[in-house]
Amino acid sequence: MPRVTRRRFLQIGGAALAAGAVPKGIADAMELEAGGRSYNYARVAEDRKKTAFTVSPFAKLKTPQQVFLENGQVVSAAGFLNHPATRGRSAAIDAVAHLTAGDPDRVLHPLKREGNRGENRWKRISWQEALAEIAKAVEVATAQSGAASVWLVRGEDTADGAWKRYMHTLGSPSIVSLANDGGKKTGQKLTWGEEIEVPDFANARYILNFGSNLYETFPAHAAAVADGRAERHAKLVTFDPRMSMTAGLSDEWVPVLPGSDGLVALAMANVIMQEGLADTAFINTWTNVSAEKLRAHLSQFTLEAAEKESGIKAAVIKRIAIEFATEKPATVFSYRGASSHTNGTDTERALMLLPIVTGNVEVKGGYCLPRRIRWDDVKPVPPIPATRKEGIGGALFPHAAKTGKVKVGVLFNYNTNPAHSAAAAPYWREVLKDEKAVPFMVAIATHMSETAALADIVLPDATYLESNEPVSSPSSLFPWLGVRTVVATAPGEVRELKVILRDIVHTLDKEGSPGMKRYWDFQDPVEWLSKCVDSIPRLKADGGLDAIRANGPWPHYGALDGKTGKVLDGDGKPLKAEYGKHRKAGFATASKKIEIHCESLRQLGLPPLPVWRKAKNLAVAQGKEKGSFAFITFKTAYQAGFTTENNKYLVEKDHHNHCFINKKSATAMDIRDGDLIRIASSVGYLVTKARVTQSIHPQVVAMAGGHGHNAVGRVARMESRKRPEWVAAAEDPDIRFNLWWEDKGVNPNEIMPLFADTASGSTAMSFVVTVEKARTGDKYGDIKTDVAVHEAFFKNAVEWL
Amino acid sequence: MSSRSYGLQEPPSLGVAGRKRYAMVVDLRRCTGCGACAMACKVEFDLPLGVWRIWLKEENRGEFPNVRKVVVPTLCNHCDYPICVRNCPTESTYKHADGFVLIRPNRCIGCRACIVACPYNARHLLPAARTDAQKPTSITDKCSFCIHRVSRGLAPACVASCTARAMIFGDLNDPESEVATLLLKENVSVLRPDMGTAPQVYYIGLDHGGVTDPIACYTDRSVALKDDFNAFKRNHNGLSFGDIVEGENETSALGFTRQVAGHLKDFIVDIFEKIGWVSRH
Amino acid sequence: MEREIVSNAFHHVNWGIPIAVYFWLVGSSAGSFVISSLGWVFGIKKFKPISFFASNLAIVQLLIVPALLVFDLGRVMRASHLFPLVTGFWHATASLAWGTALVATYPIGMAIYSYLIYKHNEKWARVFGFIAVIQAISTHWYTGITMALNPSRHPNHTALAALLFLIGAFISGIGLLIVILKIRDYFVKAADKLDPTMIVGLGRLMLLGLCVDIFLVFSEFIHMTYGTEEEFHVLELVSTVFRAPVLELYLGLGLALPLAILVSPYGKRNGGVLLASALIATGIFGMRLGWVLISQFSQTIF
Ligand SMILES: Nc1nc2c(c(=O)[nH]1)N[C@H]1C(S)=C(S)[C@@H](COP(=O)(O)OP(=O)(O)OC[C@H]3O[C@@H](n4cnc5c(=O)[nH]c(N)nc54)[C@H](O)[C@@H]3O)O[C@H]1N2
Ligand SMILES: Nc1nc2c(c(=O)[nH]1)N[C@H]1C(S)=C(S)[C@@H](COP(=O)(O)OP(=O)(O)OC[C@H]3O[C@@H](n4cnc5c(=O)[nH]c(N)nc54)[C@H](O)[C@@H]3O)O[C@H]1N2
Ligand code: SF4
Ligand code: SF4
Ligand code: SF4
Ligand code: SF4
Ligand SMILES: [Mo]
Repeated sequence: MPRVTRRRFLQIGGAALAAGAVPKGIADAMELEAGGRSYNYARVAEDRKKTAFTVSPFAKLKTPQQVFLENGQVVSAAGFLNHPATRGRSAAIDAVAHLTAGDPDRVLHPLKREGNRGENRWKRISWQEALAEIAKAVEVATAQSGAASVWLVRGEDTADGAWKRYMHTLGSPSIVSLANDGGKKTGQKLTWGEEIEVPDFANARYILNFGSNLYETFPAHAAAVADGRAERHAKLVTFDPRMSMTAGLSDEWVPVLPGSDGLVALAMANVIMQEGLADTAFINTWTNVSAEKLRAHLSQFTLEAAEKESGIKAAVIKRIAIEFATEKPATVFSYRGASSHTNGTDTERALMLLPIVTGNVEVKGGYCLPRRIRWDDVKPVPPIPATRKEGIGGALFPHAAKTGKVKVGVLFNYNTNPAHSAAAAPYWREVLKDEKAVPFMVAIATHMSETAALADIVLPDATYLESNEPVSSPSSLFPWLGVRTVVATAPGEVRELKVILRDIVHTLDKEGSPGMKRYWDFQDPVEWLSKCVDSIPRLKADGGLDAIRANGPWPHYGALDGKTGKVLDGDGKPLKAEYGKHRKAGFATASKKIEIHCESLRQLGLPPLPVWRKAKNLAVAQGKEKGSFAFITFKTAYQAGFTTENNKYLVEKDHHNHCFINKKSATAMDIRDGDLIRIASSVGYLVTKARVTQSIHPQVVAMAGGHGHNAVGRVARMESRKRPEWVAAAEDPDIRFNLWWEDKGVNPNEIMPLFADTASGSTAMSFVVTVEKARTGDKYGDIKTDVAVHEAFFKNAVEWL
Repeated sequence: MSSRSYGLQEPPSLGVAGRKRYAMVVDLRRCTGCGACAMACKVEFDLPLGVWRIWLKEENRGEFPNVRKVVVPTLCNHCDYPICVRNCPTESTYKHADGFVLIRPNRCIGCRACIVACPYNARHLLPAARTDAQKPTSITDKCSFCIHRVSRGLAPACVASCTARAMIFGDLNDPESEVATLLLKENVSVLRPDMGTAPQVYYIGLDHGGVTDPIACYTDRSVALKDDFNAFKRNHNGLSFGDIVEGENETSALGFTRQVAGHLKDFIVDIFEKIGWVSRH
Repeated sequence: MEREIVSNAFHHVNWGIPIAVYFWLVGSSAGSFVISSLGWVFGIKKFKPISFFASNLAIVQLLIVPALLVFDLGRVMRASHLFPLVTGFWHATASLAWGTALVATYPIGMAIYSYLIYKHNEKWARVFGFIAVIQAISTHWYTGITMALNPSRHPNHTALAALLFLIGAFISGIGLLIVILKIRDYFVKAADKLDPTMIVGLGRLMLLGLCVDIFLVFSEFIHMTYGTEEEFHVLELVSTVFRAPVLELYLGLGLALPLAILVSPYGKRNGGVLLASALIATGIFGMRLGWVLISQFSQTIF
């Protein structure tokens, strides 16, 4: 077959057809194998000028991808065919992720603020000037208040720990990580030493899902669930106050009241133990409590109590508990929904009891440990600085900075947009705008987010298509290593993170005398990547980095089979996962057992056994029960983090976030579908439209996050024809002329008061609100908050944390 | 099935040895409503905003707490008796012997007779501006069953990205193919069978109500969906001088007159633009 | 059962106001021409004086049509693709292919007829007039058929649609003709002014057409009330979104009121007929709007 580019062969297609002759030749040459299960991307690779392998930037699970290029630009992306989990499939966000690279609103040059902070006026400066200014600021901060006054506020880290190395090189421990699955991760970590579970959905017979919208947020898991349901008739039961896509397509949707999942799980575990359905041998051998002790402990969590708190009938909880314990193998999944409350860590620990007491751990179709591929840090490794004494959780950082409890000299912001997506977003803005609290701020960013807009210097970062880093999934039965390499030419003066950090270090340490330079001793980031990759045992023998670049993720498990739709091994047999990982080396805890009794919690003065306490964030003031709702928030398949908010296709599909409210509750207040409503929390109110629906619990209202931007880009702001003068001249006529929607949503985080989970320090994402019809004069999108009240919540949190 | 003449149509290859006969089966029992199909298709063809070759229909059905979701991905059905083909005056759109209903972009005049003809709303007119200026504009477009991929041994882009493997594509003439076995084994149905089009996109687990019923699609819309559609009607640039925006005042006698006058004005401006006297772009 | 549709595509109405105007003009043209033919083709002497004017008016009305059609195309320059002489292909199952041929030849037919009247060539005027009448009727009939041959588009997907279009054309054609003749009266010499009885005569013809039209819509609506869900839905739309053009303009101002005028004593007076004419001509425009737009309105949400 001749080598043709994608556009070329679209043209050929068009031209052949246009010539009038129905192209029988093409038809005769068709050789699609059965079913569409088999398709061969290697052949695309031949057809298309250039193809490369990478790993998608979004989602927790990461997706290995194959991308296709034209003129140095990625034009489309597909999943990696032989990947055992995705089998070539990719989620909505992954399919369009590459558009970020060519986004006309990208930051392409180093920018320096003009005028006051937040005025959003910028001057282009050279990299040299930018680096010099940053180095100077770091030097001044270090001289005045010590290295720890250099702060990093980041979202997800890049995979090879460049930031950690950078901060350690400077001698600073001051890292604030803003992700809202802290409760989940802490609960997992404390219990069995890992931060995430791997549910073996494809082989399960019964699947309990607490507060995850996994059909939209974990696409690889969703694929496995679909397999389990289709091939094993697995039953999927979803607990969620709102009928998410997952809940709506489950076999059973259980509309649980927010914050009560932990108690429901404890009551279920209690039922299972009482009914003699528990695997006592497993509990006695593999956990640090005896079955007898656990049974005694659990007996306090009655079905009646669970019914009262969760709103689910005791009989239903009992039935599901018994089904779960008898239908084996069974597995559990949970995510941010269940755990982003002040009782998040407890909740996660309670949920984990279900697979544990039924002995569904590390069995086929059960609840498994992650299988990881690890690599070594590039030598030499900078020493870890002494941790700070104040013990500031990420959630409290802005308050600590404002009140001077921590000293901030320079603040680096990377890959997180707290001014929009964190709880108490207005307070974050207030603090970041305050030059006393944050004297100097550097944002390393791809877009001018609400947070970057408050910086003094904005540095243009590379996207995943323009960087070098190893990536491995945290949650897979078949561990793999993929790499991101530079597959597309970076536009403008964009540089990749590692290079930026290296250059700052080199500017700080021109002669190498403070000894920083040696930790950053590389010319080309590929050098660094090779070192990471080469440290992995066996990989080198399989061809190392070059093999991954040429053939996709390592190891090579086999090839996708057209007939079965499964990846088969070299002998043509279905891949078999290995189970019973814990039998080799135990669990990754100090005791090598599952720590149902958690010593470190006890030391913090918290109950060491899994318990349930009412979520503080959902406590309703006495006498206010009537008219109060629990407000919850969620994500959709078309947002990823909230990084996708300037992607035209995703925003077209999903651009507003009207407030879900149950029809009965709404009707009682004379609110009809589409009416303007005012939602008030203790810190302020916003005005949005009511989505009157049957698909949410009557005592709960919900809004999706990630909407209502005033920054990021033209699509996000919904100002398709207003180009800021500092962006490149590039235009997308499609955005300019065809953007049709008139509603960009409202950001609920503006009225989200700060609550945090004691054990994990992670912020809660739900709170109590009142709902009323909009008052005269209210306009859609109105937001009114009181920063002083926001601050009061921080003060409060300081006391209980 | 008796054979009917529906205009420009190659002799059908169904059952002809050695020939291909493509069809799609969508297994709604597997579909997770993830939307990957729609996004993959948008990028594959660099589709402009406001048009879709495949889209998700989504419905909430029932009363709390007995509610569930119904999700149906919809695309051109590559009908065996395509009314669109029959009504195209320029022979621009035609039925390929191997099953595809295709458009010859160079022949299409953008008269939209085929759009009116299609009972499934599967066709759209491409707007005059798009990201890649090399690609067709102002002509009718729709799902092509990805013939450019299929003819090279690849599954259609939507099928290839379907995370839950709910979409199956293949050759009905091959009894071994998964589509052929599914058609035999499963209870399949098609959208609007009463239209006499013999659709070749088959669904497993489809029910004929709600979102698959054209009237319910109108009467049971959420207000948000209706408002979005109205915004779309106001703002899209798509040679449609008759989109009636609904609303109490908008469809009163005065409001209606205003809308009609507005459309006429748009049409006249459009004429000037086509002649090249003015440019809104 | 409660349901809410929360996501769907927004493919939209694509034949709009220009097409409704075109149907209306083609209709009026056909109506005018039929009147014109009464004198010279069918030998009703009374109508001979207006034949020449009516025919020319029909030509003018029809000359606007190609502009509407061509500029409504996505690709104006490709309008030539509609002509077999240019392209060498002819898609006979497409009503638009026939329509193009009709719209292109019908003005020529009328022009020949006009010329022959001008030359007072009775014999050939009759022959060419007859051909042109068939063209006139076909041209308008085909517009109805174009709408009718789409099985998912109600209210057009019925055999009555084309008849309804035709009879509407007949009455709106006469109506418009009367209005224009009246306007013409202001500008011409006393000798050339219209004979008032002629107007009343036209009014009688219009009344006849009006009755047929009312009978047809009545049948159509009866059919819809006993029809499928989708047909019934059209009735719902007529009383809601399309209330203004259909209920108020077409059925109310365009049919009911003129009927009342024409059967009353005012129907025998010039003023009454003139008013009824104006009402019918605009009322039928309401019908065109309704029948074109409704048929596409609700299915675009499917
Ligand atoms: N498409 C997409 N995928 C993503 C992301 C994304 O932004 N977009 N982000 C990634 C990240 S950072 C994360 S943390 C994960 C989050 O993944 P998930 O936790 O699966 O997703 P969320 O939408 O945050 O929340 C899940 C559900 O929790 C429900 N919920 C709220 N409160 C409660 C409660 O008290 N109990 C129960 N049972 N349910 C509750 C909400 O209604 C929602 O449906 O997704 C990851 N994957
Ligand atoms: N209402 C509501 N709020 C929520 C949630 C919710 O469900 N609802 N979810 C919460 C959860 S679970 C999380 S994890 C957080 C996520 O929220 P954040 O931590 O703020 O993460 P993102 O919103 O993804 O923002 C990432 C920022 O990094 C930028 N960026 C993207 N790619 C790159 C890159 O390659 N390099 C650099 N330098 N910058 C990049 C983007 O432009 C964006 O400004 O939001 C939380 N907030
Ligand atoms: S719009 Fe194009 S494809 Fe459709 S009927 Fe007209 S010419 Fe044919
Ligand atoms: S679905 Fe519509 S466009 Fe596709 S072949 Fe059938 S009638 Fe034609
Ligand atoms: S077959 Fe191709 S053109 Fe059709 S919907 Fe799927 S991706 Fe789009
Ligand atoms: S990609 Fe597949 S699973 Fe996802 S919505 Fe489309 S058909 Fe359903
Ligand atoms: Mo998260």
